[in-house]
Amino acid sequence: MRKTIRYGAWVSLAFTIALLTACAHKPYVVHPGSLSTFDSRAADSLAIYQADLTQAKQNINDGAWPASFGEYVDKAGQGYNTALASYKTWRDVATGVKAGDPAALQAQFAIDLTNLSDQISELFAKAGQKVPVQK
Amino acid sequence: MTTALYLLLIQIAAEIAAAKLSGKPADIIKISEGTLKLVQVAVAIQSAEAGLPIEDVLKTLLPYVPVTK
Repeated sequence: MRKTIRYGAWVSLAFTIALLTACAHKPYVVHPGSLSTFDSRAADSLAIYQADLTQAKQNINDGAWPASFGEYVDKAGQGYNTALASYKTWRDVATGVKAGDPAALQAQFAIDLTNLSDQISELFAKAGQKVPVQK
Repeated sequence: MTTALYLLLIQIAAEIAAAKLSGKPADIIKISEGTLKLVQVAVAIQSAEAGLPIEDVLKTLLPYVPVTK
């Protein structure tokens, strides 16, 4: 069992390096239907932070993290919800569904996303781990 | 098939092989944390590479549900 975990860890490390190397030079592909590259990257960023939070929840459910970490995960989750709401508001204004200043809302979203990034980093740092999924 | 997905499949196959060598029944093999991370990265990369429409990405963005009550 212990041997399997060690083997798995090394294989994971090797393939993660290979994966990152293989993808390092690939140009970013904008999602069809995006308003802009910013729109496309914003959605990807939120999807990735959502995956990080899912991983954090699983760590608690699996017992890898103590249940007391739930408080920190929830704090980062609130940051995610704020950033998601901010992004959706910006998008509604940018698409003309709602009235508002798209530039100001885009700036606000950038702030919310930065805060979220910090919260996710702090969360995994508390557990002594690196953030699992990053752009 | 993209490089990310190809590497992911190799990774999963390697973990299953390692688990079998250790005598662990295949049906109770739990995917390792490292592989789970690879899955998430592969999904993120795939979503863009596959030309996934932004509307489909937006559908996956769901509000966070707290762990604690």
